[in-house]
Amino acid sequence: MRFTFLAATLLAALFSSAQNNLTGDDVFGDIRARQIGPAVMSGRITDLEGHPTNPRTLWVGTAGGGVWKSENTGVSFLPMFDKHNQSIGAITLDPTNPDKVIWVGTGEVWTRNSVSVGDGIYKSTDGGQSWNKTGLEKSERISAIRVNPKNSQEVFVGVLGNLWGNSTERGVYKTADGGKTWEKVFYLNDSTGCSELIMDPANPNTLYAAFWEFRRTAYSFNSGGYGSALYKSTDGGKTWNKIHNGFPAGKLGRIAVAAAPSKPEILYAVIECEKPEQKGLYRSEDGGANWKHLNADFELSVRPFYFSRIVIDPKNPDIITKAGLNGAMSRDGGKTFRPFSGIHADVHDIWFGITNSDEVILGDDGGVWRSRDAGNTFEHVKGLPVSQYYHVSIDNKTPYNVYGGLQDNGSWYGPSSSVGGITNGDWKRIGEGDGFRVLAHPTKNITYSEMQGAESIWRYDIDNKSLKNIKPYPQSGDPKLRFNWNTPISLSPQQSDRIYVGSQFVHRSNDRGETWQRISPDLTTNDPKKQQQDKSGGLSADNSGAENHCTIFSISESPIDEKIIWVGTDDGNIQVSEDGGVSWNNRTPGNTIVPQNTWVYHIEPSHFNKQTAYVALDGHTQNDITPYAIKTTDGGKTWTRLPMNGVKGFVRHIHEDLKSPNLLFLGTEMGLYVSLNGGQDWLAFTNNMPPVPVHHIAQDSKTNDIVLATHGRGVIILDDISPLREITPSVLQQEVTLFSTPTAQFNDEAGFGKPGDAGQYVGANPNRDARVVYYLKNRHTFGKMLLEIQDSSGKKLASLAPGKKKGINIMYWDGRMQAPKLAKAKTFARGGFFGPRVLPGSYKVVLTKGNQTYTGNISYEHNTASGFTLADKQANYRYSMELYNLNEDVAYTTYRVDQLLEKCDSLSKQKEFSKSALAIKGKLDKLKQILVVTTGDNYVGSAPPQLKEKLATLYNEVAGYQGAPSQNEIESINQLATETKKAIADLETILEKDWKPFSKKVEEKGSVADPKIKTRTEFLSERS
Amino acid sequence: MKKISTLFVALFVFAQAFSQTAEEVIAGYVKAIGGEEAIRKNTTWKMTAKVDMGGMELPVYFLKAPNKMKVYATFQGMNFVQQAFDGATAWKTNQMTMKAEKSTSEETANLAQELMEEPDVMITYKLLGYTVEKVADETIDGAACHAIKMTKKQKIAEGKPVDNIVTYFIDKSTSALVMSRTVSQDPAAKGAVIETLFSDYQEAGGIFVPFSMTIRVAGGPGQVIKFEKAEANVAIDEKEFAYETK
Repeated sequence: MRFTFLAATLLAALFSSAQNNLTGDDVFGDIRARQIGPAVMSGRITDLEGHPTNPRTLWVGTAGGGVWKSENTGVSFLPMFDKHNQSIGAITLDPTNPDKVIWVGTGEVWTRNSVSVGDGIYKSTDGGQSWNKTGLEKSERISAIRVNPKNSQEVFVGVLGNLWGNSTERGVYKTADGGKTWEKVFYLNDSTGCSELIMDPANPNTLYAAFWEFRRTAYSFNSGGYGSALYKSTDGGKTWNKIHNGFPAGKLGRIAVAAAPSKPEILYAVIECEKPEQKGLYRSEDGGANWKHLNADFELSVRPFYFSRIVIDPKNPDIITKAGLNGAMSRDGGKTFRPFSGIHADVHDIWFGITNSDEVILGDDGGVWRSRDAGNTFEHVKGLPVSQYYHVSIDNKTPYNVYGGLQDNGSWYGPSSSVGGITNGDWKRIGEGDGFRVLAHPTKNITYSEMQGAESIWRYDIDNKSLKNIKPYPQSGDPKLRFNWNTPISLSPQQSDRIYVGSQFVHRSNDRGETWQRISPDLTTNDPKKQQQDKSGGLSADNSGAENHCTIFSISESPIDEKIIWVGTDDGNIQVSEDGGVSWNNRTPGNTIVPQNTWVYHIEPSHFNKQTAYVALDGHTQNDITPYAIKTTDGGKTWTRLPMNGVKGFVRHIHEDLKSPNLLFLGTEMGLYVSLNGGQDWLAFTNNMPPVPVHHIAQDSKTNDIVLATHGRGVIILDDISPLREITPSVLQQEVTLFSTPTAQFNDEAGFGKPGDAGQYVGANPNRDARVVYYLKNRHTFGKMLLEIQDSSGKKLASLAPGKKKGINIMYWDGRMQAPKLAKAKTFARGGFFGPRVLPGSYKVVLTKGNQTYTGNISYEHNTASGFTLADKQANYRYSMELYNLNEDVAYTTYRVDQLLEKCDSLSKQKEFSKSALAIKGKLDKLKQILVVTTGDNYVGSAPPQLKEKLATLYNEVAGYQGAPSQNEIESINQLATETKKAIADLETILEKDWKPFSKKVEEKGSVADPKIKTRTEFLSERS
Repeated sequence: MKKISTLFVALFVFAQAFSQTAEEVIAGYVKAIGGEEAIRKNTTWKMTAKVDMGGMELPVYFLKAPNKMKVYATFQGMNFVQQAFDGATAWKTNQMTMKAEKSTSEETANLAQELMEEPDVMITYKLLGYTVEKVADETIDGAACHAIKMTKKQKIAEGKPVDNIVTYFIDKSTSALVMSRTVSQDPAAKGAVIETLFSDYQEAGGIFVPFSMTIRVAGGPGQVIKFEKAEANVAIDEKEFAYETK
């Protein structure tokens, strides 16, 4: 082990020089992210935007899953923003060019504790195919974008700004040149940002801007202050005046505002203020000069930071909707409201159909919903995989299952592979509320899950369907337990029944949560100033538990030594016990390494050296988005900060590969990064991987898959990353390097798939077939490139399409030979589409690139877990090959008959040969009717099957199965073999008795009778 | 061999140019594959390819004559036409009846328009009134590429004119076309990004022709077409293209 570690260190040093200027494009090639959703629960929607004239088009902005577009009124969606920041504040279509010019402001404005951060405003001029960042990079959150309908170059933007600290970037911005330059036209102060901006649809010079004073820390939230206000400009943003006549006095909080599209002088505002009875909906009928309080119902006043949006029917100023816990609709101008029902909670935006107000689209924490009866009933869109995972784990099964908890969508597990693809129906719910850490017992069919702030920690026995709350309670003399919103639960890598839970203490159970032992003192800073959550919320109390602080956030038992337990806290402490929790040492690095109190998000004890550990730290709740990852090799006594050159986004997770200590994976708020040299350099991983927040990383030791919990795009898997372990400085220098690959097992699964439709999300399955893997120094563009699989004698078994990418190329071989060649007939046979599967063993890989040839091996072994014996496989191969050859016998015989028939046809036109030719033709026709179908079509007009069709069908049954054929099938094979033999013999008889004399007669007359007939080998070499 | 060497030299010399305009990048591509004159000399093409259909290699044939085309596959000894155009009618084989059926009027109009681009849109685009612009460079399959956005004459979908924009990615170091990208306007797959990758350029008909194409829809794994033979200026019977009613 020591040697391995030393060798790895040396390699890392070598790599450091070789890796200069290396990018992901140079390496990753076919290592590609596999997105498996799920979309069953979808995720938080932040903004909905329809098209002003095309009712089919709908744009959707999400909290962490980017921008999606539907061209069919929300039946199916395509992602449109996968190369850019995935946290969306606002989407706006240019009213004069809505098919082409789209604006996206990044940074969600529904500022919950787990909200992500944006990085500016983007513009597309080609309908969303490409995007340019056009500024406001430090805006963090963009609340609204308004384009002048009379001048596309003039755009106003509301910038809410930083959530976690002061910022002077807030306010209303204007561009007069389509986004090239921006002018801040209205600014209040560094803690009050523009939370909504409205443009009068009839008069673009009239603007309304809501300003909001707000602030989050890791341990508190404040909404409201004297800065919050509603302003109006009537001169295109040059001057602004407060319009509060009728509003409550004192401090205000977040304000929602909307103008009726059909009558813009009618405005609605929802106010957060000091007195509960004055909260809620206000209406103005004179463009904001005067306001009248209408309603303080729950849905109008609930959690303004999360729900401040009003949407008005474009045709009727009295039909208004308000986002809320359920959202609500008024049909009487705001006097009364009826909440929506039958949907997920936490509605953030609503959209009315432009041609039919009965069509209502709604976005909430559970995705997008469609109503066709004006919001009375809704159906859920099942094709938006924007789920927000906090954590991911896997089990030991084959295929492994994926477990995780999600923002407001409970806890779930589902398969990493499923017949027909991974569909919504494959996922099982194992927790409610907000889900976080979910873990599977290593040997029993038991899961552990939780809901926010450890309100519940469940142990669920899947087999017996028994559910028990195993949350640890304070023991005698203990203070109140402080659990994080995202309470850490972890398992021991070595004791299967052991679990850990963190409050401010470490709790350990060795019997699956039946009994708990507190094994640590308070490991946090226990700062009382950070424990006043009962005062949190500002004008609207908001003590949900989301701001619980001075808590443990990460617990990791060393995979090498069960006595070593690492703990990280949300207030910056790193603590370690080296004696199984008897004593603890505070090993928090000093300020010179990481700023004080930086949230310790994850500690990764090394798999190779028990003194080594990596730590991911996240400073964003201190308004610090610097990426931090540190490493110790002496049990935490000293720390080194890993270089983060080129890394974007603060860090939430670091993972050390299970087999190569130099291979590290880094999850940041802006995607995934990979280091091939122990963290000295990082390559952004972008192959089918958006820059989505990566909250947690798991790895399967059997498949070498990396499994990501993304907070916005569900579960993303990098299948078998083992080729990355092979990338060395010398490989990077070679034109072509063929890697050795592990022996694969045959995929013996079969099934019928699942029904689905265009709107259902289906996650792709992995390919676990045997692989050919090679590295190309440059993309192959010129010259021939071929890839063949051969047997030991050099006979071609299969040809694969070789990859041409620079970097790692991966080709899969399913172990099947070429399909048999079938006879030409009038109609298609329903079989013969694939070749027989080879027997377990090693086969030759021959890669030809230009005039160079590279050889290697590829091998399959018998899958003992499949339920088939090796003898079954051998029988399968033997009978498949017999049918394969019979199929080709019939094909060749039919070909010969066809050639003779053709000749008969031509000779029958010559009077002297006509009679004989027609007589032979009659016999050949009869034979052909035995060989193949000669009438009918490929559907309900099909003729009864003949030899070819029977053989092809039987071949498909036998070769398509994974084991031995049935006795009945074997009898059928024998029967068809006899019939084939007879058909061939019949042909020979015709040739001998009829054709030969006829041919002789024709020759005597100076003509040629014998057609040119290819040999069997020639015929079969042409695969068609 | 001499011909090939000359082409290679031309190819590399041309690739040295810096800060090229869209027109210059296109001209570089045209020169690299053999030049306009050589491209125009080839009035007909007959190509044989293999397409991997889940383990079965399907032979596919491409026939091309001025304003005419045909793509057909052979399966169990029978030919079925995936798409053909005889100058007036676009058609394909119904796989149930194995008879020819006409493509929709819109498909026909769109195909006819596409055939106007022959022999290569990179030399006909100006004449057709298409506009080109250089957009942000991209790395495709690890090759640094110029990206040329070509705005073509609009197509028709569901009775309405729709965008017909293709972005071509041309290798900076060799001037070879590495990939094209467009957005499907087909009503059933509207909005899906279609990418076609080109490689294995080999000499045929006096020019370099990509002998491998991979068509990728909506980021999927892609369908590979491997060409085995490409012959230019071969005689093709007009009947091959003619709409048949069997």
